[in-house]
Amino acid sequence: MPTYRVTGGPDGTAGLSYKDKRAEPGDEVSDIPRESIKWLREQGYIEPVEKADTPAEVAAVGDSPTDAASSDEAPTEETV
Amino acid sequence: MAFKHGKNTKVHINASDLSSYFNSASASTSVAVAETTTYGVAGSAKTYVAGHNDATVSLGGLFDGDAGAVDEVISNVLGSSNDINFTIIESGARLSTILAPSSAQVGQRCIIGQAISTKYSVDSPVGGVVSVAVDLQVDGGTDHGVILLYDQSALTASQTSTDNAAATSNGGIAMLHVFTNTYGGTMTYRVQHSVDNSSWVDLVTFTAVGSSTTTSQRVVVAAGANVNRYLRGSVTASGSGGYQGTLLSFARRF
Repeated sequence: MPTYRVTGGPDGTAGLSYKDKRAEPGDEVSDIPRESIKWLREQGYIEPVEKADTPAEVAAVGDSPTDAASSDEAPTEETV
Repeated sequence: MAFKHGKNTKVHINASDLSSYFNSASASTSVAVAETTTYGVAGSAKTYVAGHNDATVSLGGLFDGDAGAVDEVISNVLGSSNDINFTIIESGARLSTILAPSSAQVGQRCIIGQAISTKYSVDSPVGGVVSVAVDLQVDGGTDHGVILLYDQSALTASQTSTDNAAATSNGGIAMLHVFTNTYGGTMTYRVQHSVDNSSWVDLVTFTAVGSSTTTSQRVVVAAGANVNRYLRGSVTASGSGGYQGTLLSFARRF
């Protein structure tokens, strides 16, 4: 199940209640009723929590283009 | 449609339930109009545009001079610089007793507002019962809403929801009266709203009500704010023993 963070809504203070549970702004939850996720996201009461390994993946992907760009730019400068 | 008898009308003013002292309650709203008739207007009828609305409340009943009874409550707020909070439940199902909360009252219509007490009279006829009459000048207009909690006990519970059939987008008014309190702890009352009647988010969170405190609170949800289709009252409690007698309502604005 995806994990979501309770944002607090428009004023940042709104808690979330579901299945006899309560979550406060900042809490991370993963058992929100499936049918509620769409409107809670649309109205800004929850946001998805990115997985921990996502930043590492971004960094790894980002390294190659940077290196490639550097190697591409060097010959151009030499030409000029 | 079902017509209602007035015998179960309830009147709450600030932190008091004064229903047992009154036997008449009248809330009236009028709208000022300005004439716009000009020469040569088509037809022969005058024309108007709507202006401001104005509301008053008149209450009548029987005198009681005990502590916390009608005379003490009303005389203390007469001419006060602070508005009083009021809720009138015009009619409806028979009301449950404290500690026996029922969902029967949830969704009943009510009138809520804040007002200045402009008149309090006590009439003592030689051949009859001493009576009282109260006039209120409503400050900011009345709002017609629905009950979300009534006579909620010390339960940590959410009541039955009410379905407006559609969301609204112009905010509203939330009103809380805690008129009895023997609870040994703190209770926090909320108005929650939902799109699907399954998950709920806070729309209004009232200031927590501590042990032995009676109070009334009015919270404005700003114009333009979204109010989802379903509404309910919610209570979270920290403590034990006793109960809080509570009336919580919300009026959408359109």
